Parts: sequence; C-alpha cells; structure tokens
Amino acid sequence: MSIANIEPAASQLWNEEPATRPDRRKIRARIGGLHCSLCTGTIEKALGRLAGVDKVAVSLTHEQALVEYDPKVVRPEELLGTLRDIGYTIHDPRKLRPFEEEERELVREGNRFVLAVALSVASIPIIADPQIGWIGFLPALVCLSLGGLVFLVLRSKSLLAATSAFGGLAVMAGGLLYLNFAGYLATAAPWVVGALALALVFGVGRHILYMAVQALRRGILNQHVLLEIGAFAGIAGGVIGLVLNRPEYPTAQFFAVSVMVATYHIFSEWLSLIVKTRSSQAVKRLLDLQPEIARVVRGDREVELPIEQVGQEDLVRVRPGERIPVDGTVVGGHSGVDLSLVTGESLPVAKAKGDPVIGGSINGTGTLLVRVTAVGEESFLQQIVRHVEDARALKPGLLHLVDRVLRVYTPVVLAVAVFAVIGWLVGSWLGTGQVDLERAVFAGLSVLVMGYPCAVGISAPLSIVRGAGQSAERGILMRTGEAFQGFRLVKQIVFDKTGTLTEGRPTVSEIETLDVGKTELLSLAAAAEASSEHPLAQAVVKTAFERGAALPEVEAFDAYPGEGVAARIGGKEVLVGSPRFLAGRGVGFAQLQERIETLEAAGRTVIAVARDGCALGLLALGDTLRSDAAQAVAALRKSGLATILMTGDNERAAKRIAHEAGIDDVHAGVLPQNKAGMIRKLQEHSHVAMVGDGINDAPALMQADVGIAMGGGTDIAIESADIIILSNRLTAVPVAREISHRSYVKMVQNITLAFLFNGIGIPVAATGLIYPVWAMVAMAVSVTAIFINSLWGRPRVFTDAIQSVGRPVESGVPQPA
Amino acid sequence: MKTATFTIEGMHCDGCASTIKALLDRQPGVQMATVSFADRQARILYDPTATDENRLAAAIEKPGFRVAGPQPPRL
Repeated sequence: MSIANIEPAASQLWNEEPATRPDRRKIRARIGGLHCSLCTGTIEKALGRLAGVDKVAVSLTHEQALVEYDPKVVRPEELLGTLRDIGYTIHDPRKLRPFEEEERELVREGNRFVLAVALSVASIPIIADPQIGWIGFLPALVCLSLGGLVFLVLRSKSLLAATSAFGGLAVMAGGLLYLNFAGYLATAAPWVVGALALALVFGVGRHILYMAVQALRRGILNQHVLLEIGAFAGIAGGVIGLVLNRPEYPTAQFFAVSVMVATYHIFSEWLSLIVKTRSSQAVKRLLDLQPEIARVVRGDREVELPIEQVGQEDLVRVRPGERIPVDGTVVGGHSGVDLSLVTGESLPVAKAKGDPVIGGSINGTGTLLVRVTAVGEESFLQQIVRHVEDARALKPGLLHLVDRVLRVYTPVVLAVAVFAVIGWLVGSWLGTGQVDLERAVFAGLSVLVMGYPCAVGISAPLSIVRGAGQSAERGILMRTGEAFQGFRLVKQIVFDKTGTLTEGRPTVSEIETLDVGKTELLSLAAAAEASSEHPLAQAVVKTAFERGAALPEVEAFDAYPGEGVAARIGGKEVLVGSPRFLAGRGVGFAQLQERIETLEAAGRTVIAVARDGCALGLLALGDTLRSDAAQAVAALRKSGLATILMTGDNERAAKRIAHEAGIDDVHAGVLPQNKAGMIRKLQEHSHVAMVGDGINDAPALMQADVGIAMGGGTDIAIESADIIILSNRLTAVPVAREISHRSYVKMVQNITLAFLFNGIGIPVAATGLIYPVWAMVAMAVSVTAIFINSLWGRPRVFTDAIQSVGRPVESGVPQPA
Repeated sequence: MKTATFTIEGMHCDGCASTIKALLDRQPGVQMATVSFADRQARILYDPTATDENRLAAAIEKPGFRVAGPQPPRL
C-alpha cells in the first residue's frame, strides 16, 4: 500500500510542482467550466483570498490553475473545495492525458515538416537552371508556397518566429541562387543536394521509410511504399550521375526531386494528422472530464473515493441530481431515477429500498443510500464498453478511396518503369546495335520519380479539412473516414427514441382546463406537487418554473404515493393525481373522460387537478418529439433513406413518436444488449446509419456503418460515433449527409486531378527524353490545382487548421449559424 | 416551495450565468434554478425549510458577483 492510497481521490487530481521557496508547495490543477478570460480573474481572486495562498495563476487556454501556498496553513483539498464552491469543476488529469499527447505529437510533426521545408528550399535554388527556360523557375513557385506554409505553421508560436523563419529561408534561397548563377556551385551542387536528399530520406523522413518497410513486408503497396520508390529512384539517379560524372546529366535534379517528394509526403502526413487530432480535441470538449468519484459511507463518515477503489458491499450515498456511480441495490432513501441514458426509458422510475440501480443513471430529488453489487468489469457500464470494443474490432472499416486507387496505380507505375527500361534496351539494340543501358535506366528512374502522385496524399486530407470546416460551422463534427465516405452509401437510418427523437425528459405536453386559465392550473398543480418526490410531480414543477408561473403558498400537504397529493392552497382543498385517485375521492369527470381516454391512448400519462371537489382540468405528460424531428425525418426520406425507430421504451410510446415523426418501422422494447444485434440484422440488406445518445446506444453506434451521436449524449456514445451533432438539432443529420456527399465528390475530383498530371507525365517520362525537373513541375502544378479545387472560396479553413497546431482548441462549441 | 428572483451584477458572459446556475443547483434546498445573462437575473425554486434567500444570495456572492436585492416574483 503506497502513501497515495491514504488520500486516494485527491492526489490524482493535482500535480505537484517545484515551488519557489523551500517552505512552500505548488500545485497544478486542471479546471473545467472556464468560459472567458474574466473567469480567470474570478478564480484568482477567490483563491487568493484564502489564508496561506501566496500566488495564483490561472490560464484560460490551458485550463489550469497554478497555486503556490503554505502547506502549514492550507491544504490542497481546501483549495480545490473552494474552486468547487464558486462553481467550477476539476478535471481528472488521467482523462486529459491522451489529448495532451496527441497535441504534442502534432507539434512534433509540424517541426519535422518545417525542417523538411528548409531542406527543400535549400535544394531548389541550387538546381535552378535558367538555361532550360522559364520552366526552370516553376519550382521557385513551389519554394515560395512552402515558405508560406512554414510562416503559417510558426505563426501560432509567434509572429517573430514566423517572420524570422521566412526571412531566413528567403535569405538562404537568395544566397544559394546567387552562388548558383555566379557559377560557384558547379561542381559542389550535386554533392550538396545529394547530402540534403540523404538527410531527408534517412533522417527527417525516416519514419516514413519505416512504415514503407512494414507495408512491403505484408505485401501492401501503399503511399509510403510509393514515396520511397520515388525517393530512392531519385537518389539512385543522382548516384549514377555522380559516378558517370557528365555535365549534362541532371544529377542534382534527381536528388532534388527526392527532396521534394519526401517533403510533400511529410506535409500530407502532417495534414492528415491535423485533421485527426482536431476532431479528437473537439470531442474532448464534449466529454465529462471530471474524475469519477463515489461517496462511500464508512461508519458515520463519508469518504470520497475514486470509483476504482469502491468495493462490493460498500455503501454509497448519492445526492440529488448526481449521477449514480455504481451498480447496486437501494438500502435507504427513495427517489425517482432517470434511466433514459442507460436503458432508454423516458419516464423516471421510482426507486426505494430493495430496488436495483444502474451506474450511470441520474438521481432525482431524493437522496439514496446504495449497496454496491457490481464493480469494475462486471458493472453494466463496463459490459457496454466491452460490447463497443468488440464491435469496433469486428468493424471492417472502409478502405480509403486513395488506398483503393493505389492498389491499381502502384503496380502500373512499376510495370511502366520496367517496360520503359526494357523498351529502351531492346529499342536501342534494334536501332543502333548497341544497348543503351544508361538511357534505359534513366527512363526507368524518371518514370518512378514521376510516378509518385504527391498530390494524392494531400487530396484526401484537404477535402476533409474543407468538409470538416463546413460541417463545424453547421454544428456537426465529422470524425472518421466513414463519416466522409460512408454516409452516402447508407440506405437505412435507425433512430433511438429517448433523447434523440424526443427531448428526453417528460414535460407537460397538453393542458386541458375547465373554467380556469392554463397557467393558473399549472401553477396550482405545481405548487401542490412541489414537495412530492415523484418524478412526474417534478416534471410538472419544472414546466411551471420554466414558464415563469408563480407558485401560490401551500398551507398543508399530504402525499399518497403512487396516486397523488392533497394540498390546501388559499383555503381550498386541491387534489392533484391520477384520474383514479381523484375519482376515488368523489371528483366527477364526465366532461373530461373522453379527453382522458384519448390522451392515454396516445401514450401520455394524465394527471388530473381538482379544487374543492370540482374537476379543474388535466395535465398530460409525455416525452415530446423534438420540434425539428419531423422535418429531419422527411428530409432523409426524400433522399431515399428508409427510416427506422429502435428503442428500449414501451411499444405504445414508441409507436406514437414514430407516427408523429413520420417513421414507418418501429422496434420497441429493445434491450441495450440487443441493439447492436438488430443493427447487424439490418446490415444484411444495406448499409445502416444509427442516431443515438445514450449508454445503451453505444454498441449499436459502433456496429452501424455510420454512427451519429447527439452532442448532449453520454461520453461513451460520443466516443463510439463517427459523426457528432454538436448543435443537438436533428435537422443537422440530413445536412451531414449532404456535406459528406459533397466532400466525397471533392475527394474524387482531387484524386482525378492528381492522377491526371501523373497520367500524362509517366508515359512522357518513359520516353527517357525529359529531365527530372519536369517531375517537379508536374508535382507543383498538380498540388496547386488540388489546393485551388479544395479550398476555392474557403481558404480560411486551411489556414485556420494549420495555425491551430500547438494552440489548444477554443473554449466552447461552435454555435450553428 | 418558494420562488426567489435576484438581480445579479458582475456577470460577464453566458458562461458566468451557467457557472452561477451550477453553483445554485448544488445548494441544499434548491430544486430548480435558471440564470439569464441577458436579463441579469436568477430565478430559484427552493424549499424554505431547507434554505432561505440570504443563504442563496451568499452563495451567489461567493465567487464575487453582487446580488442587487431580491425582486418581487413576476406573475
């Protein structure tokens, strides 16, 4: 047992740092709930006021607080307690770690790219040869664009770093150009560029070499392999040139091409990483990063422990509004528990002594004492996590469009190269009687060098950058390849009911009155029900509160559990409860009977209100359909999708919602563990998309070809999804489909453009008559074309993406226009 | 159950409003609370046997906001 176990929960929540004085301690804590820079002032003041606190520094961008304090006067727990007291939350550093590592890797790769660019910018002026005409200056354009990219990348660090880097590169390029034209580099040039090429391929870009070797071993010819083929061909051509040592042989050019293709490849890898990391960071904004803690009762004390340390048979106290941390049985207290996120039931269930509760459900207004029955791997939540992981492992995953094309393209390039070599060998022998090996090898290498479709590696990430930017503006987060490529293939879309199609919590949907105003009826009922802990009573109170209704004073109050309440308000006896309860106390319902039956048939729960024995009216409670649900469903049906409703709730409620939303197919009463199975069955016919938000939806979201989570959903649903609807509006689903389709079209355009240039270039290179600099020209033109095609009209999407590296994602979620 | 309405000074943005709401939700006796940055108001539904307006106001003032006196509930 280590010392850490003595104060277990706390020590994981902050990091010790070295203090400036030996008798002081310093801690760093990760804070949540910071909204704007003025919040930092609030926290600094509040913590600074505590006795024993010397210095407080709060950072909004890093979401942390550094506090230096006198350990004899104040303890870290008190500091964190104060933070909570003023309304902020603490983040569990363990949950944050993966995101921080990702960001660090992104910065590392960015630095690698800058280095590669430096090498490229060095090599181009060296090989610039005005004698081959103005074409020779085209790579200069490339130089400039690379310099511009470096500027963008370093801009996020500081303007100074960016300008000095750009300036430095310009000076170096200018200097080398001068040396070149002045003739100083004539003999040294090939060696210098050769060194640069080796440095890049085996040094800066060695991780790509590693990946290429791994792929080759498994017989896969992916882009990394293609790059290394091109780069090695360039190096080989250069080495041959050094050996032959002839003036017209474009030695330096061969080396320079290696440098350039490697640089472009590093750039495309980095761009892909940016896309992936950004979407991951955006997800982080949605997750609950607070540490998972349970309040365990030991004797007459309550101890806060991290969930991993809660054992079976421990007693856990759950306060109102909190999430129930463990699976267990109620041994004390009673409360209504919201199970919607766990099982999909829309109405809270009353729990009392002896009832089971599931970890993850949300407690109502009462306090519960729970004896733990299942912990760790055995708990409901962990079982769901396992199902999700199983589904993830079995998911075939869409083979990226680029990889599919490369499977054909790469062998073709190799074939053409071999063909060129043989062709020259045979042709020259037939023509002149002598085998022109040199020309043959030259042709072969030219083909390989031209063969690297450098624009291809960039085309997918660029179209995704554009698509992700567009969707982010509309409150949609597209995370995976499936989101961009797979959504257009989907023919069936399944909706979860509670919380997805509906608001998720019961509200008063209809108010029927006899002789009184609706608001008066509502306030009367709410006042009477205010002290009741019944979940439906709470729904009435909440609706009244939200509508601004003032609650009259209640003079006396009696609750009849399961039936209703009787209260004295304004001297009169008010009854609120089920129609049966009121009828049993002599209230006549003749006029309302029909309405009651209609409402109940529609799946509503009806509450009747009477004053002094006379029926005043009815309140119908139900889980109401989201206002934009019908519209969203209609839009999806119009695009040809079959719509299906799948829920754990009862059949009647399900059918009603389905009817209101316009969905034909209904599957009700589906247990959480069966949802994924249902998706699998549907997948036998065609691709399936699933929209959900709860814990019970997570395995199904992972199983579906495209999983869509609502932004306000549970962590595990969000992490299992391909698309996340941040705006929480269902109409975003058809929009997401539209964007996905357009992104795919854009990707295809880009890839076509990319291969167009290579398609022309390769046969030309096969003739062995052109210099490698043409490969660079083809590269430059194709990359430019793709940039223009992808970013036309929206260049900011790209610049924002690059500049965001190293800077934490902005607080808050982008609000839809 | 009683409803208290406070005018709050010192909120900077919607974020502050949600921070105050989170704070109020955690106070004993508070059943429901809504805080509006735009209206600079907080409406709190609370159990008068578990807490009172003074305690609620003190909770709001702890992070440094000011309660500019309760107002009569809107009808």
